[in-house]
Order: sequence, then C-alpha cells, then structure tokens
Amino acid sequence: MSRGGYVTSMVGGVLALVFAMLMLLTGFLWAVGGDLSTFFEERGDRIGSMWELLGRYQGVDDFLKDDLSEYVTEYKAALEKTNSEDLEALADKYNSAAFRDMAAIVAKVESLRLRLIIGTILSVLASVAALIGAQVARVRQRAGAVTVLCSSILTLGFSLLAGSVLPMAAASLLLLIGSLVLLNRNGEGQPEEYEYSREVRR
Amino acid sequence: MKRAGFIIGYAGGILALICALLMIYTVPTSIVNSTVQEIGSDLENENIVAMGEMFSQSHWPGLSRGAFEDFASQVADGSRLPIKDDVYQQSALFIYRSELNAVVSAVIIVVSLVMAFIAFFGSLSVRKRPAAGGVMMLVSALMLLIASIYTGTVIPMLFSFLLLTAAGIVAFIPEKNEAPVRAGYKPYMPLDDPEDDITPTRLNQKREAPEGKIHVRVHRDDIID
Repeated sequence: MSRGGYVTSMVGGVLALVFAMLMLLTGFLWAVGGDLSTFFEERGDRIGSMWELLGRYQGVDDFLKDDLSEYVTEYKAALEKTNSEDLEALADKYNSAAFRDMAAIVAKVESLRLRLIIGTILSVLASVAALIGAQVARVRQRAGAVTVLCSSILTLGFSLLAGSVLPMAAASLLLLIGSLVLLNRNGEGQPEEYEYSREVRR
Repeated sequence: MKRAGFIIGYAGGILALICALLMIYTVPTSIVNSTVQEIGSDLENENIVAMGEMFSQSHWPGLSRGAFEDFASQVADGSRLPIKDDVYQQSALFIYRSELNAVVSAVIIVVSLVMAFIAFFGSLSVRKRPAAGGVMMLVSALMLLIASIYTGTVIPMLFSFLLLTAAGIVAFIPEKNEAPVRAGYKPYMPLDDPEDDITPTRLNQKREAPEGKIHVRVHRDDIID
C-alpha cells in the first residue's frame, strides 16, 4: 500500500467533510455576506424604522401598545412569513431604498436556499465516501483509489452547486493527489494484509 | 475483533465529526429560540426599553455578574426614563445570563469538535494500539454525550456515542490465541513456485534449511562433520 497516497486521501477526506459541513455557512457568506455588510454600513440607522413598518405591514401592533409576550409571538410569526415580495411591496409603498436592498438580499437567499441544502448534503455524502475509499485502499488499492478519485470530483461538483467552491477546492485537490498516488503505486505495491501475511510466513 | 472495533469506531468517528460540526448550526439556533421565548415569558415592555438604553451605551461590562449589576446601576442613575432601578437590574441579569450561555455554548462546541477529532484518530489507531485507541474513543464518546446533553442535541449524537462506546469496549477485548495444532497435523504449504524464492514452500524448505536449524556436531578432537 502507498502510505503517502493513503495519508493524503485521509487528510483530504477529513477536510472535505469539515468544509462540506461548513458549506451552509460559507455558501451563505459567499452569496450575501458582502451585501449584508454593505447594508448594515449604509442603512444601519434605518433598521429601527424598518422593523416598525414591517410589523405594521404584517398586522402586528406597535411595540408598547401590546403585551410583550403577544408582541414577541406575533412578530416571530410575521418574520417567518415575510418574503422578498413583501419587502418589495414595502419598498414601493414607502419608496424606501433600504427595503429594496433588503428585498434583493432576501431574494438571493431564497434562490440559493434549495441549492445550498442539496449541495451540502451531497458533499457530506461524497466526503464520507472518500473517507471510506481511503480505508478500502489499504486492502483493495485500485478500488479505494477509484472511490477517492470519484469523491474528489463529486465534492468539487457539489460545492459548485452550493456556490462555495473555494474551501472545498483545497480538499478536492488533496483527494485527487491521494487517489492518483494510490493509482500510480497500484502495480508496484501490494495491499497491506498481503505484505503482513508474507512477513508472518518469513 | 480488531477489525470489528476499527470498523465500528471509524463509523462512530465520522458520525461524531458530523454531529459536532452540526452543533455549529443547531446550538446557536436553539439559543436564539430559547432567548426569544424567555423574552416573551419572563420580561415586560419596560425591560426591553431598559435594554435598549443599555445597548446604546458606549462601554460594555465584562462577563461577570457584579460588573453587569454595576453597569445597570450606572445606566439607571443616568437615565431620564421613568423606569425603576430593579427593572434595569433584572434586564442586566438577563443579558448577563444570555451572554454567559452563548460563551459556554461556544466553548462546548469547540470542545466537542476536538473530542470528535480525537475519537476519529482513536478509531484509526485502534489497529496498532488497541488500548490507546480504545481509551481515546471511550473518553471522547463520554465527553461528546455530556456536551450534547448540555446543548440539547442528544438525539443526533446518541448513535455516534453508542458506536464509539462499542468500539472502545471491543478494543479492550483480547485477541483469541491460535488454536493448538493437533499432533501429527501437517499445515498446508503451497507448491514450489520457481519465480518466488522468498515464500517458504515444501521444496524450498527441504532445499534450504533455516539458519537456526543447521546442526553442527563437534567431536572432541575438534573435527567438524
């Protein structure tokens, strides 16, 4: 067995798993992180009035006019049902650039949400396959190497789907190198268990 | 046995990593939900107004109960709103508890991640160092269970805990000794392979006796046979 290929594949697999699990966060940040920070820098002073207007639009009584527990419950429900179209409507109603910016951010998140969830789940599965492939390579080198190679391609593809390709590219590269080393050494080395049995016989 | 321990431990290690990384999402979400629920049930409108005034202050106290109580007194003294000092104290303690909960949860998430990695590497080392790998898996499984109970994410972590515990216990079960060979039983040896001169075969063994079995008889007159 090629120890270098095995270690590289294992490191790549663990990194792929970590980045895949963090993809919900990184994908979200890549997509709307910059827009959100710009929004809070430029329109941070409007958040209070936006909060109030959004509550009125959704039929929630103003703060201090109602009991706090009712206000919290009603406003929570209002936030859950608010979408980008509601924010666009508010932007048109009050001719507000802040609501228009927020509507654009929410629309981006809405379009990304499904891709992000599917890409994350599939990336996690592909990275688990890579970790299994690295262990299989100890006994069946070619089969393990092919599994790791396929996983490296799949993790890269799914991270593209989720829109968070940069961190995953490093892990995919490690998996690719590991699988190529394992494939290259396929003819030279023998699986570990065969070598072990030979040593025992000697 | 070793192989079974490795496979169970490896699966448990991967699951532990996934569950520990999942905590990054589930724990903050549960903190926000519980805080919002507490605001609705424990606090009044006056508390929210007092909190708004506290948040507008330029300085923020360190993470200790006394510092938050002093901070609440300072804000109450400088305030022109018709709110009692007790309300400021109550609001400050609520913020302190929430902040402390967030910090402790963050530490627990980091510890869980470290423990998950230890469990994973323990499962890898169980083949060569069964005792060390077993200890690594058992300790990290216990720590992960405690962390998940504290953060309220015990359901996803339970499966990995069971796998890691099983693998840890399996690692401590001693290997079975080889069965004693019956008298007169001749173990199988492959036939002679002309290209392989390393593997011992029937003919190779006859042809080349091992060094340890060369019999040298020495006579008293020092003549070697």
